[in-house]
Amino acid sequence: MASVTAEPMVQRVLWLRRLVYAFVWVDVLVLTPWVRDHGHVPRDLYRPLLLERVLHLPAPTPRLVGVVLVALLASSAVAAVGRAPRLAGVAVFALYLEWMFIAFSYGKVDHDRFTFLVALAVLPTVDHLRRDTAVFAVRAVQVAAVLTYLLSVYAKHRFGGGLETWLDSTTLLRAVVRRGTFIGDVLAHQPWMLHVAQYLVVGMEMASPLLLVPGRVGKAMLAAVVAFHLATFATVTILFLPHVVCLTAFLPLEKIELGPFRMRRRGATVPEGVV
Amino acid sequence: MKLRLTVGALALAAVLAGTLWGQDDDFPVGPFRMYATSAKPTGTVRIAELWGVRPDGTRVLLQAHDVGLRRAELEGQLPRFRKDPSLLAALATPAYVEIRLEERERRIVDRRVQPHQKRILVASWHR
Repeated sequence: MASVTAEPMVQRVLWLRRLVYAFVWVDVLVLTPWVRDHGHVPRDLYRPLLLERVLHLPAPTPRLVGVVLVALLASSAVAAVGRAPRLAGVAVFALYLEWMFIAFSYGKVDHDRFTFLVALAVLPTVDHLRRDTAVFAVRAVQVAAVLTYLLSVYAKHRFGGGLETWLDSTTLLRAVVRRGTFIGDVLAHQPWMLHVAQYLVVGMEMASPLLLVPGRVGKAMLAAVVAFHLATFATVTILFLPHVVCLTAFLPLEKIELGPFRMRRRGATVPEGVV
Repeated sequence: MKLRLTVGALALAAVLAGTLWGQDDDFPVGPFRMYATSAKPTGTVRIAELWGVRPDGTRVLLQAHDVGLRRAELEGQLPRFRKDPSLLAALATPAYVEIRLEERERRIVDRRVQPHQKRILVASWHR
């Protein structure tokens, strides 16, 4: 039987694993039910992405989507409870990537999955007896989250005709017009606030490496980032939830004490099945 | 650990290259271009809508779940529908005699959203 140590970073990875794999169920069944519909979309509208073409992956059909769905849910359930973490984890990574190909091959690619995919890729590499592997996994997820913000600044520069142009553009106003909530509609009548918000967004994104700083600075940055995601949801109902789940890698999850998941004393070794 | 660091470095290089030169097609290492385009203070916002027309002429706004495609996906493939309206047939159900892909246009003048809006036909398909 595999064993785990009570080392905080190992404990954090165990919590991250529970959260990430359980989230696969929420994502597939609740948040993005439209992915399943793609099995019924005519093949004429299928636009395979580069990796799908290179790997010669088949076009989605109702049967393929059904098989991937069941296999993904089953493997993530196994991985979430910590059984066969390597095998189940690798299966979840491969199946979730295929699920993303099914999702994004019809004319629109979402950009909130990078950190989540990194988490799925590194979680199976963790050896519960080796602290360094847990540290690597947590840091990889954290760096991926920071990159998502930081590199999106460059994308604004590249696709927005220069960062200065983007900052003074009406991108947020148009987003609100297209899919605004009642809060967004109020802001649409105060366009200067959305204009200022564009500066704040870029400021937050450029400051995002501060997330990696220990102590108060990192915590304050995390609060700013969470505020950004809440504001985005409140105004245009967009919530980058797979990414937000990964932000828990910045939290001291190892301090969670919850019945059977109670943290063991530092240095103690307990059988995996008991944790 | 050496292997982990090597794979990590390669993944980092891929995502940096994707940001610098890539496109959405390169998922999962394409550029993070959500809301990255710029729009002038005065211009038009276009929102794609898919309508089904019943035999009695009533129009029904079709939702993503009805046709299996999200609005952003319709918009992503808009030029294809414009060029070949018969693609819309693939989205039809027996309840409708006509499928209309329209764009709702909203004017913005000097950051002010204008009250009026109009609809423009992009492509249509008749049974």
